[in-house]
Amino acid sequence: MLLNINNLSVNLGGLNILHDINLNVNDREIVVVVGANGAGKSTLMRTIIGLNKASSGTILFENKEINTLQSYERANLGISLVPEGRMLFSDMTVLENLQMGAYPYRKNPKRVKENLEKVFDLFPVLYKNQNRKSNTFSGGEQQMISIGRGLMGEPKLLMIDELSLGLAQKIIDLLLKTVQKLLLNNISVLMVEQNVRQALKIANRAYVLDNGSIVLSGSGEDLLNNDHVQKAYMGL
Amino acid sequence: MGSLDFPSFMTILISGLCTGGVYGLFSSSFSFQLGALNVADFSFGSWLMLSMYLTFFMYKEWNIGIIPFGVILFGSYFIISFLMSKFIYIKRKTDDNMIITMGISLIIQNAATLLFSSYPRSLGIIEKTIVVGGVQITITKLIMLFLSAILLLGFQLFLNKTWTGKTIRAVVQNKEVASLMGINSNRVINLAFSLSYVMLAASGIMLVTLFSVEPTAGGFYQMMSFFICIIAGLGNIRGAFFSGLLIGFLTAILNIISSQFAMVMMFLIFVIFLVVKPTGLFTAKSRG
Amino acid sequence: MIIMDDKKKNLLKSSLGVIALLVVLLLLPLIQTSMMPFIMNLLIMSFIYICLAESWNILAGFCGLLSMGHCAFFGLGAYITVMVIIYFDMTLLLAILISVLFNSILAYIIGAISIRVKDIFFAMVTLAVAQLLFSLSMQWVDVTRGPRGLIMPPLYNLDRRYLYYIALAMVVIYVAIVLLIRRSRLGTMLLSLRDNEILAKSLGVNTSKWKIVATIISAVMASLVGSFYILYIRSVQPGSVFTFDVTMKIMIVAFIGGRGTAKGPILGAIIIIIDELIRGWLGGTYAGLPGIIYGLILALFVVFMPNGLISIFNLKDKSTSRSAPKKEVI
Ligand SMILES: Nc1ncnc2c1ncn2[C@@H]1O[C@H](COP(=O)(O)OP(=O)(O)OP(=O)(O)O)[C@@H](O)[C@H]1O
Ligand SMILES: [Mg+2]
Repeated sequence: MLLNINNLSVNLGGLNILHDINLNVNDREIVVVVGANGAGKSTLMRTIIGLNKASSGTILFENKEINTLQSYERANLGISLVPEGRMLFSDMTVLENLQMGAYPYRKNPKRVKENLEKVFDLFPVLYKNQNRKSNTFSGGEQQMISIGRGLMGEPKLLMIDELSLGLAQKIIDLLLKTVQKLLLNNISVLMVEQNVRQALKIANRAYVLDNGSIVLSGSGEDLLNNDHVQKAYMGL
Repeated sequence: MGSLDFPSFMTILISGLCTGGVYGLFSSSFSFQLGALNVADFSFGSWLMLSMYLTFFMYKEWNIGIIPFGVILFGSYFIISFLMSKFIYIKRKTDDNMIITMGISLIIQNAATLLFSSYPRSLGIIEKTIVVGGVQITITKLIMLFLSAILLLGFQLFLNKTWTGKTIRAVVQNKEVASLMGINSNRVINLAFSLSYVMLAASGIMLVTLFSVEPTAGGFYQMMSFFICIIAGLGNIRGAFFSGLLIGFLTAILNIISSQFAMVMMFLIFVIFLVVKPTGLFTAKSRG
Repeated sequence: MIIMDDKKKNLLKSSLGVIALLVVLLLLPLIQTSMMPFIMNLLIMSFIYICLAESWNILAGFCGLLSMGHCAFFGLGAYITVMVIIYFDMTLLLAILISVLFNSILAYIIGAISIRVKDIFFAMVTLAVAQLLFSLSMQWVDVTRGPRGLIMPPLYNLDRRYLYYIALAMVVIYVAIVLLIRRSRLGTMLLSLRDNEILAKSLGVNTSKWKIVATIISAVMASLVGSFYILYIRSVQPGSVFTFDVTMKIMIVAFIGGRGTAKGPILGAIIIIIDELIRGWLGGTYAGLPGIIYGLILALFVVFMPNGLISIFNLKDKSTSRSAPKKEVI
């Protein structure tokens, strides 16, 4: 098992944000977490990478406990987070942004170059404009840069927070297809999505997070056909 | 103001511009600390003053050349600031750091009074001047202007072209996101903080060629760097250099208008500026 | 229940202590010795700094706003009071009111500027304002007589003993004000603001408004101390009120006692007494030595005893002191 979360609780500013979360991600799997605004999805991802501290519970990555590690150490183990709102280094070019993702093996220019080529293969638009400042790109392109930057770290687990936020349908389709392709490279994906229907369609498994607790889980298909999910999150 | 002819007016302005260059240099380093590294360092001015004193003694009393001196000075500033950042500043809240740096500033300033007396010291370099159409330009000042421009340019190149520089920029823009890339943000911040201290030491060497130094000089330079980096916009290094030029210029003009109230007017302008445009003149980017 | 009893006992003990201290201080001027003027001066100076530290504490303790130029409010209070009396021939009461008014306006401006930007600006802006007032009072010789300063007309020569009681009363009132504010809605609001501004905002607290209110309260308190100062010392110079030395002493008293506590400054005032004694003892020699010691005290206290002396005495006055001095590590 790649990621294994047991009874995780998180406390922020005196408030209990997450309670007793149990969640797994297996190798070569897309796992989706859905939930309303403020349910605690981002908090969950931030806690996995170590930006928030767990108040109790354990996080195992490749069967090793990582609770005590700093976020940069977790990143070096092979966990990447594509953060909510993309969070590019806005005064850097596309190339520089991608290079930052390669920080752990920066002393190996050949490896950096190979991975750059892989990312450019996934997103050819970026190749053409690699020397442009990242804040001059459209939302969709910025999301590509952010995902590309995450992939540059050669992750085993890629976490994406709100892939579709503010993007047009066409771009969402394209990005979701790209995400599916990642499985071929042995990268598992844990994503948080508001765009519930589409996300569940590509998900192997999914969890529903409500008010800081997991209230439902199952295969993507199961949840797609679940009454509660349809009512609460797909407006049916 | 009426009695001033044009060449003398220009002489004062150009001289103001040149000192503004050195102001720009240390203010850039302050701006980098304050805006980028988020350290509110109230001991900044005192360290600058100390560097001026040490340069003075190196030149007047100790028999070591400028190169070994520079190596020792930069090295010790680098090491001291790295240790302080690592063991004190980085772990603490901003307001605790303000007080601690204030304490350190007091220690340095009063130690200088105790050791060097409060009597102002000046290198007393004999000024060579060139005259162009009645306008006098002091060579030392001109050299300092260029030197500060070159140093800053070098720093910019370092930030833009090297891995270390890029890493610093990434951490500065967003510490959290940088850590997602596997960067140990705290270590990078310690390093960047020490680099700003090396720039500070260099500014001290240059300043003492232009001005005399006394233990309380730090307060003035601290204030100046604060003004300048507010005017530039926090964290904007290049902007701080140009704001430095602007302030140098402005000080010269205010001194022509009324040398008595130059400082008072400066403070007023600053307060008005803060009300009208608190984000600074040269800000464009938002930081994540 | 046992805990409650303990609490009550402690409260009783500490209030007994406070009452005993007050009685001693009230009776003290009645003792006749040649040392009395010297002792009273020491105490009055301590009272002045206790009051200033209380005023500083309202900003630093409740709002997390560090005023690095607190001497500005204090000095302005002293200067305006004496100027109104000298130049406009008004009564003392009116002079005090006018200086309070000026300080409120100044505090409003400072508050309004600095809340628009980051918190460190508050420190920088207050520092700049103090410097501005220093250079203004030095340079505007026609009005302020520059470094020579202004002298209070002899009409207002009060007996030292009255002044002592006034100062003592001010201390009691100021401590009470800080205690009251802390128990009031305003205090809760300000504390929530200091501890988690984002949370406070999201709960609908108008953070800017309360920061300005706190700045004004604090400035008015400092201004009144300034008015008292000119009554007591009877003259004022830029160097005695507008220098960083004054602010630093205020901060040290507040810090040594316990930042953000109401009773802390009373303990912190020890440093003022020690300071006066050392200065008397060393005289002009070793210029700079006291400054070094202050700097060390300030830095060391923040690092090793962030909650001040009061944390040793455990005087149940910790509700506003900081629980964890460490930054959250990401
Ligand atoms: N630092 C913090 N201090 C206090 N509360 C916080 C903090 N960060 C987040 N929260 C609260 O935690 C809850 C969950 O936030 P989170 O960002 O994880 O939600 P989310 O599910 O990602 O929402 P969205 O869909 O809007 O992105 C929210 O109520 C938020 O206000
Ligand atoms: Mg979110």
